[in-house]
Amino acid sequence: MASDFAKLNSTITDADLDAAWQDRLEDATALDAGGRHASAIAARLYALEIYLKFRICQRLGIANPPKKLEIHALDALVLFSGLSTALDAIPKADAVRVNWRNIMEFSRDLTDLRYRPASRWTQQQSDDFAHWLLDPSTGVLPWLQNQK
Amino acid sequence: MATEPEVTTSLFLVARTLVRFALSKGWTDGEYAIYYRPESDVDDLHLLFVSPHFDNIDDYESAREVWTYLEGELHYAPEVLKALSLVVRSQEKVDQGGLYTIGPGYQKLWIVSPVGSSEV
Repeated sequence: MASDFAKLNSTITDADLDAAWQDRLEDATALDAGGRHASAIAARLYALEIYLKFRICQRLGIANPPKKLEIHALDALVLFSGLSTALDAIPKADAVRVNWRNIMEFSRDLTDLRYRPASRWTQQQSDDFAHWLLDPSTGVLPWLQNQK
Repeated sequence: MATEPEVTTSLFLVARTLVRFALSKGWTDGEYAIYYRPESDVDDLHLLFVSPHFDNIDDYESAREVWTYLEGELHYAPEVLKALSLVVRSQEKVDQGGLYTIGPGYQKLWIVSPVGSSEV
């Protein structure tokens, strides 16, 4: 019997994760179109989290994600995906690093996103988050995708 | 495990440097604010630097200017710079709330310096 740290979630595959992160991005676009900007931001945050879990599966050569990594802490997910050293090597003032810090800090305090009215969240803010995450040259997700 | 004094020393080293940055710009005390996460560790320091003087300036440019200053001033403390997660933010964005809300995990940092002192 596998120890706690070796247990995998056999109900989810790496292929599920690979499809799910892209689905969450499409969800975000649809939510923005419907004026639901808080949920759009949340969906993009989920996309990043799921993508990192997909990368962990790739890094470890496993078809199911470890149950111990059913967590939301982005810094831990980057660490276990094997990408933290490369991320730390980016100069602090670089736009990718600025975007990563913005996303990280936002992800640590999600009380507002979960419990406050949607009126606090604007299209511009959703666009800003999308830029931090998806901008082709400075976005966190394209940068992660470019890492081997 | 870092001791509390080590964390406090690092936090105040960065904070004092940010205050010097503000002074170098001619900003008064009420024109900027520094926030920190109390659970910061010596190898994981989290600060927010907020000012209305960052309003209408590109976020990346503001961050680049502050980081360049910090790296110049704290070149002798690379371990502190390595541990530092600093977000530079305009007051205008903080006032918007939502994505730019200062989270409940942050506390405002007050730095008291002697009256009339130019030393920070």
